[in-house]
Amino acid sequence: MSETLTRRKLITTGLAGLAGIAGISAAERIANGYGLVPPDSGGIWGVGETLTYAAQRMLMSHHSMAREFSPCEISKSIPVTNGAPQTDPYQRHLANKFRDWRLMVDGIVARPSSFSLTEIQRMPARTQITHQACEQGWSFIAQWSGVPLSYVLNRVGVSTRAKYVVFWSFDPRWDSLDLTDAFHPQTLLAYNMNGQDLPPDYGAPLRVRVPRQLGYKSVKFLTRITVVEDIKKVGDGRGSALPSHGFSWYAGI
Amino acid sequence: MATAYLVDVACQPTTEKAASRPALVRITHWIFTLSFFGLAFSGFAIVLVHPHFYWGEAGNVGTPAVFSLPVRPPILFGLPERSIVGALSGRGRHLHFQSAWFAILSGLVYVISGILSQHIRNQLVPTADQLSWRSLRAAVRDHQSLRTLRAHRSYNLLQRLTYLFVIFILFPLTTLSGFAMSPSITSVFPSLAIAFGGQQSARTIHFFLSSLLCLFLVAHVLMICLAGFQKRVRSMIASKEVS
Repeated sequence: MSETLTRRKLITTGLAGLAGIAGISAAERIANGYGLVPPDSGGIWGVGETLTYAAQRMLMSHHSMAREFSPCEISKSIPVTNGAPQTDPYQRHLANKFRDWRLMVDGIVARPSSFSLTEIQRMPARTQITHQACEQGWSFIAQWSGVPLSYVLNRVGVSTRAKYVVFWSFDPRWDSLDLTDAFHPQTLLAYNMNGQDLPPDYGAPLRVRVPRQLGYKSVKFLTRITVVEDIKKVGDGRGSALPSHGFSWYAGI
Repeated sequence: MATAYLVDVACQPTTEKAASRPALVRITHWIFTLSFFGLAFSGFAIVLVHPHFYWGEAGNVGTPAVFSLPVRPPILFGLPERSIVGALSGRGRHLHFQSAWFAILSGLVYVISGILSQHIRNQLVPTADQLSWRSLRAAVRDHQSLRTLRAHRSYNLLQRLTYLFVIFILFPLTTLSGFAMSPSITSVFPSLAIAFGGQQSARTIHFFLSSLLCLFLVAHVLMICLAGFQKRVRSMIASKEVS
């Protein structure tokens, strides 16, 4: 092989490499502009996380519905990973049957509000029988009733600048959804499971249900919902308490 | 002989005149190799957290398992359970999906470039004269003797069929059974979950298909060792066959 050919090869490879790097950074800027980069995109796993999230948001319908099942398919056993909080405030509300509990809805909304459980139960309800997979691998099917999150968000008037909806809980756990999942018709604030008031271990008084993502995105024991534009300013900036434990923010997988 | 059948899939042209592999085949081969190790390693880490397998739509510790693997998550330095689970299945899923992206993209580049450059037709699709019972018997017989096998200039019928099966059936099915576990993908393609018999069935099938891929890897590497590890690996790295 002659020397010139080697040099030419070297130059082409170098140029291709540079073009590749320029392409990636341009792609990143475009992806950021269209909201295709998840909040936990930093670090070595950011490549895979961003590819999965961006590909799903770009290629898949934002309105696709999770499968719904018939009542006879409801699971007989439904294990729990994190049960009811043993903290004083939660236990007091539980003993009081959540009569004084209120859900705060704030952030960049026109009318920051708070709702009692009775008020939420009087809102238009939706009942669905869906499958929930735990990130560990097991799963169950259950019936959930609640108010679509979109109804509550429309009622408080979400700013056009809004990008994420953050959920706070009696748990130290917090999490967030992008507006696609927050406004999805199957995303519920659920207060009823299999025809009964939501039991404490399953998230009483109110929990999120996001059937298009793994179970851990469905935050339990809700206290407050905050609508934000910049998720980087919330908590450690990764959109959820879970990335610090090794779990992805986007769990549509 | 049964092992020889499985094992001999890695043999390939050994004469100096044999055509060298296109660069894209060699590059995608090694990207795919790394990705496959990432997938297998992280897949096992994820399974460690819940080594029970079910059939149907849903399954958990309260429902009967089809089978369970005799493994348990490692207890490391008294770490709390959530940290261990996070490290195994949380980080495991990070590695799994990142590897899956590289595997699928490099696999697609390999298949598309292989079709365009006729690499797949020339090297992997059985030739007309290979498609006979006589040729099949000869290939099986060849696999009993390493020397006759090494003397061949190109893949024999068994090798070609095995590669085609792995590339066009086993790997796509493994990927699809993985997709069938995804709550977001199945919301767009519900038939995917239904075709595999439910989300938990898809998980069980995914486990078996991945195990078959690992078995193929073992056979593939064993065959390379038998055919001369250094020489074979060098020929997958360098553009020219090294003798």
